[in-house]
Amino acid sequence: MSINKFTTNQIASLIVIAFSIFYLILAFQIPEYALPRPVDSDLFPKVLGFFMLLLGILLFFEKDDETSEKEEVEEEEEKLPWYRTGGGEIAVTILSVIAYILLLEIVGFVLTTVLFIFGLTWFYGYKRFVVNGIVSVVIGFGFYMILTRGLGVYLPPGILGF
Amino acid sequence: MNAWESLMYGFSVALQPEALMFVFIGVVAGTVIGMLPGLGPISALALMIPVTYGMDPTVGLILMAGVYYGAVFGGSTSSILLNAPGIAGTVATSFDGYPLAKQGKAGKALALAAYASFIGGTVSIIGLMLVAPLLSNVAVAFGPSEYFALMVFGLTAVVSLSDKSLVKGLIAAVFGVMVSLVGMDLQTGTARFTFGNVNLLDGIDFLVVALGIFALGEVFVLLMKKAGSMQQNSLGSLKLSKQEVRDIGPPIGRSSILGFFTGVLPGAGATIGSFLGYSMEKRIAKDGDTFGKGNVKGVAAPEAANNAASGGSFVPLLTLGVPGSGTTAVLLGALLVMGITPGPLMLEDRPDVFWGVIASMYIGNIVLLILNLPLIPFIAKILNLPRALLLPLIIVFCMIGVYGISFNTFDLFLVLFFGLIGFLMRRYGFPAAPLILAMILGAIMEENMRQALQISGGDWTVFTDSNISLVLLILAVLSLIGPLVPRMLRMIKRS
Repeated sequence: MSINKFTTNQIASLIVIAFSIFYLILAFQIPEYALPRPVDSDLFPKVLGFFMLLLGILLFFEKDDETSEKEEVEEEEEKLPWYRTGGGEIAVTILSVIAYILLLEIVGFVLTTVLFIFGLTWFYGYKRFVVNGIVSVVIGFGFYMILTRGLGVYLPPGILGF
Repeated sequence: MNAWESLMYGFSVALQPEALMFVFIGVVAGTVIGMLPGLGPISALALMIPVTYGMDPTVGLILMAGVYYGAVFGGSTSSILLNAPGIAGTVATSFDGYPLAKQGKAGKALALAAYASFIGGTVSIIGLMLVAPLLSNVAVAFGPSEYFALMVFGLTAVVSLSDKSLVKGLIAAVFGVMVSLVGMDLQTGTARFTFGNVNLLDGIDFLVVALGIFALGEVFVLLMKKAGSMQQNSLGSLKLSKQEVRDIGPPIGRSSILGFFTGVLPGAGATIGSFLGYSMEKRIAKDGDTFGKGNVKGVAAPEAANNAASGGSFVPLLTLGVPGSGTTAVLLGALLVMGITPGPLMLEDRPDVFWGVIASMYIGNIVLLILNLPLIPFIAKILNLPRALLLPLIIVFCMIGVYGISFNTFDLFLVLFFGLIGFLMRRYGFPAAPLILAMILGAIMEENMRQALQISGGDWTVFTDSNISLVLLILAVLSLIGPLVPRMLRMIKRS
């Protein structure tokens, strides 16, 4: 794999450099204010962008240190289905969070939260369904009651309608 | 009012039943969150901010003080029991704490940590009481150029003292400033980096970033790590012998004072304080060679120092309104959410808040001691809580926290985005504390810089004309060059 030719820092450095170029392009598009001022809106961002670019280049030549937490690939992980590996679990978690956000205002806080906690806990491999069920219902319902009734914070009621 | 009367007034605020209840809740919640590997005081504070919505600021702050202390103690608990320090500030505790636990003396080590933390905390509160009013007198004279220089120094100090690479620390800091600039420029009304999205016009809320990076990001890191087997040792007795009490007295005293002053300096804080305390005692002690093998002094010294440093770090926050660490930056964010702007005028304008905080820190300290000592056996059980159940709860808490202030699902996607950034930063070895500090300071920094230049009519020498800002800027440069000097010398030698 060609990506292995780069060290961890060099990969990070390429990301930083790409980001700072993108940032600079945006910074140069900031319009000028009608009245002349000693410092306009664009100066600070431009300085930041160039500084970031410089730092990214410096990072390219820095040696890797032990502080970067490298993936500890375990032997057994090879045999696991993709969704059981660390990366797979993260991907499923992200998708669940996106689903949670999209459904929150439509289905409502209580139902979405209960489903989210129960589903994700089950997915992470917790086998005691009764405990899981009680915890998710208590948390979903409890938070809703405390926040909406007690602290006056609005949460979407959704299809349950209370 | 002199300091003593003010403090008594503070106590009368902090001893109200409502306030006491919240200190209690804060300490328990902080301890629990702080114990979880990966989650430290920053995460604990960020997760608790939503709870303070709509609260009276004084009570809200009291809650936060409890959370802060609890989280620092919780970190020590997991350092001792599991050799898994939740945060850098308690790493030094694990050097001798974990060996003690392996000898079946975990209870003793935990009790020791509780006593040492209590004394360290007490010393730092006395220090805060004495130093803070003096410093706010000086700070009243600060103008925009001084503030700008102070913030630059605060940022470079945090970067240079973080245990990771200088370049990476600076990248994190610059990124934090960049994030803080998103939205409408308040001085000209120009939209910056909003991609035409109305949701970004108001800028990115600090809580979105804090929860994303320190809570959701940690969830991803924990998923990646695949919790190894956590071997817990038996607790044993909590009692200390008379000889041990005599042994640890002087180290606690010395480390508390050292810790406090380290905490006052921007950037230094609990981590440096605890390592300094540990190495100082190791050098002084006659039995220095037993450090690292379960010496009681090796637990007492860093614990006293890190708690004293936590107290010390309140000094710049309360008097200058400029946080010197990631943790106090989150605390500042919490204060701003509650409508309080700390700074030199806070002592005059809101003495109830100022002294209420100090008094409640003290009460938090006492509650921590009387609550945690008897509860240690039960608290230790929390570490057995299944990860599978815990992680979804943390995610839901992040979502509620952000939705509760913005009522906007767009911000929830932003939390997810920053969660991923936090995760990537951890993977590639970038420190997260400079980012959150820069995110808080960035916009204020730019504002002060532009104000200073506005006053001077665009003359940049305004930053070097004032002695205070000149000294601060020189310190900022030195703090960045300092760590490079040994490396340069080595390179010169080699060539």
